Amino acid sequence: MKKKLGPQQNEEYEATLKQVEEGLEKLNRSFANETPSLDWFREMVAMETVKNRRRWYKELGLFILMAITILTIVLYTLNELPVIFFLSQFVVTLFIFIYRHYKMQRR
Amino acid sequence: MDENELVKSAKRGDQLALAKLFQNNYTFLMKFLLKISMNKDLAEELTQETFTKSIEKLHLYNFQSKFSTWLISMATNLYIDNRRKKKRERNWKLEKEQDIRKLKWQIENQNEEWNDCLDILSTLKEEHRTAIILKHYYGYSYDEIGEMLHVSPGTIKSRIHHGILQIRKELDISEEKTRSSAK
Repeated sequence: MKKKLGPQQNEEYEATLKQVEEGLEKLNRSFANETPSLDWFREMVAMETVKNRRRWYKELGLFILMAITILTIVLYTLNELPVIFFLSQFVVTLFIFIYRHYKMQRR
Repeated sequence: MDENELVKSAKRGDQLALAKLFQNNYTFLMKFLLKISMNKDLAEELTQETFTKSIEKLHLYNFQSKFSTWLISMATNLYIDNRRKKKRERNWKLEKEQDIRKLKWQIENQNEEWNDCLDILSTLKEEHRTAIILKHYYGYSYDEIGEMLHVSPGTIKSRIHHGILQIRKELDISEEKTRSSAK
């Protein structure tokens, strides 16, 4: 718990705060305003927007590819290897129950 | 156009509005990052990184705080992440000392006197220094800082209190050293 300060300590605390503020103000003053031009910012925004769009398409493509792969595997096993399909469903369900039980016990 | 209108336009996809917003906030954000990182190059790098991230997250800005506050919050978290990564490197302490020396040199080159407090402030934990700067230089409330750093206002209060006490202690030690060397 935080200790309460006496009057002298309080004064020292306030003096320290003042010194910190003065130091930070000096730091603030020491560096001139070096803001780049509006054109620089426009270029940066345009470049980043293109990059973001590309990243978004890449992630969407990856998501669709994964979804198609999983769906293909599921449909293939359901039609061609139904025993394996139902077995895998059973194993996954069992795993979920065991995992939940384990989590509940840890709580 | 005021800030809120610029943000609304930027959210609609107006790149010029977004560029103007960034230009208006550049110095403020850069100087904030300079104070918390005490490294000019890192401050410039993180300012750009903050802008990049804000383009990605602009749709999440909900006008509840000022745009500059939203940027500061993002910048603070980017800085803390950057430091965590840096601490895993072997020479990070040495590099930090070099950064402070460089900053000291840059300030003295501008005919400003280096303040002992800045030296001590630079040795504090990032979380403590950031909280002190946000509260006592920028005037944010404990609640606002807590929200920015994802901790409770009580934790912020305690970080500031302990940080200031540590600075006081170090200042007393350095004053005592100066006095004894003068004798």
